[in-house]
Amino acid sequence: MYKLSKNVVLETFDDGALILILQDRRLIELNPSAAAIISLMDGQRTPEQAAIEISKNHDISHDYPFTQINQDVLELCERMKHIGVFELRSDLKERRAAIMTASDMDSFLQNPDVVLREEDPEEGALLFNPDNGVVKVINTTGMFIWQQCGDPRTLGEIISEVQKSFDDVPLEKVDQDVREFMDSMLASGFIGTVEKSVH
Amino acid sequence: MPNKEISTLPDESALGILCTWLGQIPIGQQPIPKCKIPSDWGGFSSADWEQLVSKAYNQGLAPLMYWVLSKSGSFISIPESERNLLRAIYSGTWIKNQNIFKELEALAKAFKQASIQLVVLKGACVALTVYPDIGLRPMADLDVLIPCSKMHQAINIAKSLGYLEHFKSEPEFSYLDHHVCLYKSCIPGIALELHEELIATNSYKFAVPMNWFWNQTEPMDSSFSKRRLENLLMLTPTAQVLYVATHAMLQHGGKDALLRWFYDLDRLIRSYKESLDWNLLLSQARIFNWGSALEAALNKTVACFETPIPEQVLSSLSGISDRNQQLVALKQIRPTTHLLMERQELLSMKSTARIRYLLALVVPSPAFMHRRYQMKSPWMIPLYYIIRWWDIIKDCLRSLISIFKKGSRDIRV
Repeated sequence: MYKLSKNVVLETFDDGALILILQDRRLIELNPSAAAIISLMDGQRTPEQAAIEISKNHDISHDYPFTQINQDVLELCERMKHIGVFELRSDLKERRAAIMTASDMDSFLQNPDVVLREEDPEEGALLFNPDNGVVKVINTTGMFIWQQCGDPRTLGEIISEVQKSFDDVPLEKVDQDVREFMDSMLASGFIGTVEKSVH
Repeated sequence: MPNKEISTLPDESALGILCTWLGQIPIGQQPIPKCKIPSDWGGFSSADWEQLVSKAYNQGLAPLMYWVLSKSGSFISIPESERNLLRAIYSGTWIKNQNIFKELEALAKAFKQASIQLVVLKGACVALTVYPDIGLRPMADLDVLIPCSKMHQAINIAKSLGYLEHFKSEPEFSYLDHHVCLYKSCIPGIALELHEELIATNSYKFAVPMNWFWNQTEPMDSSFSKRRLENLLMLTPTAQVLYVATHAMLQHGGKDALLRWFYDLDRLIRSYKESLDWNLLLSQARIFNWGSALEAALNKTVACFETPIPEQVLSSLSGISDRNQQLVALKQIRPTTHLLMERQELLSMKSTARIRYLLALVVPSPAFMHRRYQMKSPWMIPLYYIIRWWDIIKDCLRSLISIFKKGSRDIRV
């Protein structure tokens, strides 16, 4: 769940909105659709719930399927988070941080409901999650990581496998890229964690 | 503002290209061979691609276009926006269909408990049996055939599962509906159509009794679906071909028939080439006076997808003359005015229904007028009758002008 960062000011108008990022005094202009989505992200709704409200309450063409709305809302949220307009609700942020730091303990596993369709060898594959309608295109490296998660694997094991297969890439870069990729896969529900059982 | 690029690809060429691509999808679960790329692929502009995707979408073929092109080895050469659009359409169709099959599973279970037979029709049936993936066949709704005597009970069961009755047509015209529509409000919403008749009610000239279809049912093999779809029946391949063909050419009319229905026919014929009983198909088409509709549908399917239909079947059909022949021909023409559209509808009906329909159009009930024109006061109803009649007269004049201008082909019917 996302909410507006304390570091920004949002001003809405009839035909859109303006966001001022206080830290670097950057001004962002939003169209009415983006403004409507942002106003719904109050830390109480998931992007999917916001997409449902948008599809219910706005006059949206039938050619614009719900999956597309959902995807657009999710992409906007991710972009807004990236530029510092949104922040994750603190308890979730802590949880996600916990996942990343405790990942040496936990294993990652593919969500069995997720559908994978392989495309051209150069293109990678299409992944979609029927539970939340999120669609993602992954490249060949992403596909390799996805395949690793066919069985429970720790983050360390995945990084090690990627490093072995792409040995011309520095370890730090592999580590960072795999963590970012796993982070986005977890956020969109493509991959889940399997807690290590304590005996 | 920059001018939007316009596609130079003629409509017919775009449809032809789509058909060629779809013809390369094998039957069964074999891998798709590399797509034969047209020599002018590289010459397609972004606008051409946009047109191809838009055509495929409008004809219900976009998921198939994704399927065949994503495995063509050249998917990357398609503009990214169109690639993403195709991906979204395919995944959206898959998710929607998965929800429909989940509902079908629940309905099958509930109907089994009530001892109600359930025949899965149209999109849901072919998506589960002759398409290689459930995301390839877009469906507007879930169509099932129910015994007439069990309809009331079936509606109540559907309601207990969260469906609400949804009236597509005005009460004045409900006698023309051959199915009951129900709707479940979820995301995405699901429309369920409970049929007690196929193609049309008794009010139409081309309506047929249902006994033959009930005798032509068999258990549905949905073994490749992960869902537990039990207690489901489907029409035999022969009955499916007859139904799908007539649905396209008589119920909807050739002009409104989507290419995906002809692709359904192609897949049915290719998938069941061993079990299709062509002799039974021809004789039943003659008995039902559906031979001309079958001929038109099969010819179009062959023209689009080079479907392997035995030559003697097509030659035997070409000699058929039945009472629906002129209607099939008329329905190929897209009416230019509302009146000409209503004329096609009237010519499809039996005399009594025709008179009833005509009266309901010209002198509808005050309740209809109130709903149709959403007037504030009932005192205004007489005024709106005059407005309605004036509109009809204007449409008559437009229709006459249109007929004279075109030297209309349909005036002879």
